[in-house]
Amino acid sequence: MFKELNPLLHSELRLAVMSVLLSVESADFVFLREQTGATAGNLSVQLDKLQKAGYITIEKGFKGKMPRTTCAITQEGVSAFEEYVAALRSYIGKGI
Amino acid sequence: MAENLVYIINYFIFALQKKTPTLSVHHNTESEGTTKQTTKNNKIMQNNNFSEAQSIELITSMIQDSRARLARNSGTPFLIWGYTTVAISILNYVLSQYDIQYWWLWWLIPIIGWVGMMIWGKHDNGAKNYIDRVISIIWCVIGISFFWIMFAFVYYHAPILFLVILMAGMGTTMTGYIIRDRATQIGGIAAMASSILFPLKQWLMIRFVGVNDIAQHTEWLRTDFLLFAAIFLFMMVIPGHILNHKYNR
Repeated sequence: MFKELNPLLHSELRLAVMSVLLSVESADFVFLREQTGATAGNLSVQLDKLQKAGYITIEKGFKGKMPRTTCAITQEGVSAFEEYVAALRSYIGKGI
Repeated sequence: MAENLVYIINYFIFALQKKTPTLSVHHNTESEGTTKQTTKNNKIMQNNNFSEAQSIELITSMIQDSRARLARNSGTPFLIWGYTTVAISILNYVLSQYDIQYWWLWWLIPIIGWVGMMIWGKHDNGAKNYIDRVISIIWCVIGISFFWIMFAFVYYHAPILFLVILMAGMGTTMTGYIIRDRATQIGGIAAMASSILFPLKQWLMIRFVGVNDIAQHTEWLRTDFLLFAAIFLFMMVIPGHILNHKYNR
């Protein structure tokens, strides 16, 4: 029985963002843009969607005089990611 | 939450390395790999119709890329503190040959080390990770302890070289196990073990030379500086170079 893949996570940029945030405590917008190779506009839209779903938190602050947007994954985001992984396993097989 | 994160990260890396050899994953440990990865990302980031296998590939490469990027220059703090301590110890040894003892020279270690960390140390690269935070806390606590040891040495003649090597060895060993680097682990454990050489040497001198005549054998006392430098060389300088070689490729 195949589990349904969470459509919010089954999008390459959003999945990439969640994967990066999973391996760090927090990351700023520039770090995420460089790691994912996405454009600023696209990344901004996808971050907003993830935040509205409660998967990440976004804090706006300053680094010196420059504005800085910092993102971190939430417990809800981790749970959603775990469910996504479980669903992937059902598609690819228990072998992995 | 941390356990879940570790599970997921390890799960994907295990899946990639051991069970899914057909998947091609970009190991971003070379500059060429970075360019290739970014180009690939630019292409795939526009695509929402991707397979389950590509999902795993993406997750794994993102986790590995982030880890590799945050691990860059991990050995630099070891090199800064290691080379500074070795240089000041040797300088003290050379000066002591001419019966010159400038105890304040030891204070150059924290001063030069701190300046070096400000210039070459790890700077804010836009992300914080758990490993960096834990290691920073460990070395902050040990750094404060060094000042406490210095105070105990100046006022109560505490065995400073023994205590500094023991504590630096503890910090290096803990760092080595946290970052899972064999050279750092060995350097730290060897330093902790060799710290006993300082009180052992003093004990032997008291036993065979006599407590009243120790001061006359200055050539033996001077060797402490060289021993101190040699231990720092094996504890920090060599592991520091190995770490940078490993993560900056």
